[in-house]
Amino acid sequence: MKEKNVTGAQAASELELRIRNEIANIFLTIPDEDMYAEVLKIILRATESEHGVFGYIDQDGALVVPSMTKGVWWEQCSVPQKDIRFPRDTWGKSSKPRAIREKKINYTNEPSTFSPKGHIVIYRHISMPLVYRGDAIGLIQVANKKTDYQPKDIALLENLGVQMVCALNARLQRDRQEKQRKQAEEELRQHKEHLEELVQERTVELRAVNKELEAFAYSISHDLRAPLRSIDGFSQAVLEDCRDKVSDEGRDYLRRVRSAAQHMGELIDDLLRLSRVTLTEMKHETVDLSSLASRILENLKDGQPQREAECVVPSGLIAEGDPELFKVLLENLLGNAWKFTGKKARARIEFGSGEHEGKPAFFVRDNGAGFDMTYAGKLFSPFQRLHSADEFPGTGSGLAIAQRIVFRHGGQIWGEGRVNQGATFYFTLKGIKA
Amino acid sequence: MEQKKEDRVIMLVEDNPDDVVLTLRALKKYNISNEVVIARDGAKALDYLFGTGSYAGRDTSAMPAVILLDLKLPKIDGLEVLRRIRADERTKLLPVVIITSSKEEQDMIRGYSLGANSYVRKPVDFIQFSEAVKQLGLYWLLINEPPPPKRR
Repeated sequence: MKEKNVTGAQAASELELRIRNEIANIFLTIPDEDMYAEVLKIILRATESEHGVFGYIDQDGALVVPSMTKGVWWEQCSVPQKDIRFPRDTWGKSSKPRAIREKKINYTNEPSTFSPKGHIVIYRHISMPLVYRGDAIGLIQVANKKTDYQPKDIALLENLGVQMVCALNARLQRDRQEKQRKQAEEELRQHKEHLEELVQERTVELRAVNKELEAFAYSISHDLRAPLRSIDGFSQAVLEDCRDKVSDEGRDYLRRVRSAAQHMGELIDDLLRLSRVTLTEMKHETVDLSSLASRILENLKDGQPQREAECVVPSGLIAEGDPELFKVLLENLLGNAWKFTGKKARARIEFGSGEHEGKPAFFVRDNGAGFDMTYAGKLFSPFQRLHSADEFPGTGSGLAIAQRIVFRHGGQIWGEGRVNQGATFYFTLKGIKA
Repeated sequence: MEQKKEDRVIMLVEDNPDDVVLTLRALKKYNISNEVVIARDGAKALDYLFGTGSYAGRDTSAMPAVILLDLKLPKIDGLEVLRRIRADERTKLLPVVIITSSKEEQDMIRGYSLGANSYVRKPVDFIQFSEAVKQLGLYWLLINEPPPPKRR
């Protein structure tokens, strides 16, 4: 066989060269599956054959035959399935699958006995697999030459096959990649569509939930406070109207009832503030944090003019985000700094900006009561406090609110402190997040 | 003839019986002994003002000097009561003070834009609460000159 091949190659006539060129040209210029039919035409002419097929093996191992000599015989052919794709388990025992399985050319000048019923009569044919690196990747069959096939026909076909196999392999790979790319594109498109639908659905859901939450918050502010007013009011009424009948101890108890009711009122208000910070729609503006901080500190000083406090705010600190939320954020952080320096003879509160791990960060620093870093994890949980209410009053919602505001601006917030040596709260802002 | 200040009537539109008691107590504490008409829901309040329903036949030329109006009410809510008061010739000039648990910005805006004269939030702290009631009573009953009664 090998020897034959060599002799065939040596004997490559001018005609064979011309055929080769024609085939190469078709491979190069016809991009789609029409290529198979065009190549087949040339091969049929070269081998003086009447019929033939040229196909390839697809990824699932099926034989795909984009080109068959059609025309009159195709209409006459009564094979029920005229699909061009033949899965491996339908192949049967004819010469075509044999060539593929054996990866070896076969030919006969005897009529085929394997043709299915209704198939055109094959009275002589050559079946040649196209083998690339040990794998059959394609098949060429020519049939029904007027005279018997000769070794020179086989040699010619083999030579053409050797030439074609690389080109066919490249073509198949390209087609597969193209198909995969198209599939991926289609999947991507579907994913995107699905994602858009999902986003829309979620937005509708979120809006509904938000609305529900707002209604819930509204009803809390009304309904939960009413009984507290009764508790506080009637305790006070007893204190005033039944003064003589209630012992000192009893009056102390009533005062405790009142103070608890009032504290709960504050908690409810803070809970509402907390939820509002999350639910409110955000504006996007450029905000001068320096002047905002200065104004807040002025107000704090006005509230306690007797306190000696040094407040440091450099000018020109600017951020993008919601002005109302920024105000609440700085009110909470500076308010904390003010509160926790309350017991210092000389308080120092600084608002500024710097870098943290390469990113710009703002900070609020004080020299107040500080905190134990062991409990730093609890700082931002709502209603968690690191100081007793006797030491420093408060409900423990300020930093939780601050954190939500920073999160909504795509930033981070964290605190550093030491007991009695002050605290620093840092925050970053990336921009608005819905 | 001008109505005597002590004859001026306060109308309290409030469904919470505790708040009614506490309000009355606060008024009494500051020696505001004017008559207080209490309506437990919005419909009752409108019946009183317009002489309808169970108040059919009431002399509607006598109107309260001030209406203390809660917002969250059974049947007809406070803002709707306010809207109807402002929409009627007979009552459109009546002083109406919204006195409610709600500090909702929306409620305040709607209350004022419907023509409320004041908006007071009920504090949990009873001392603050009675102080607010006292101020309201003093202002609307003693200091404020009410609109002249509508002539028939």
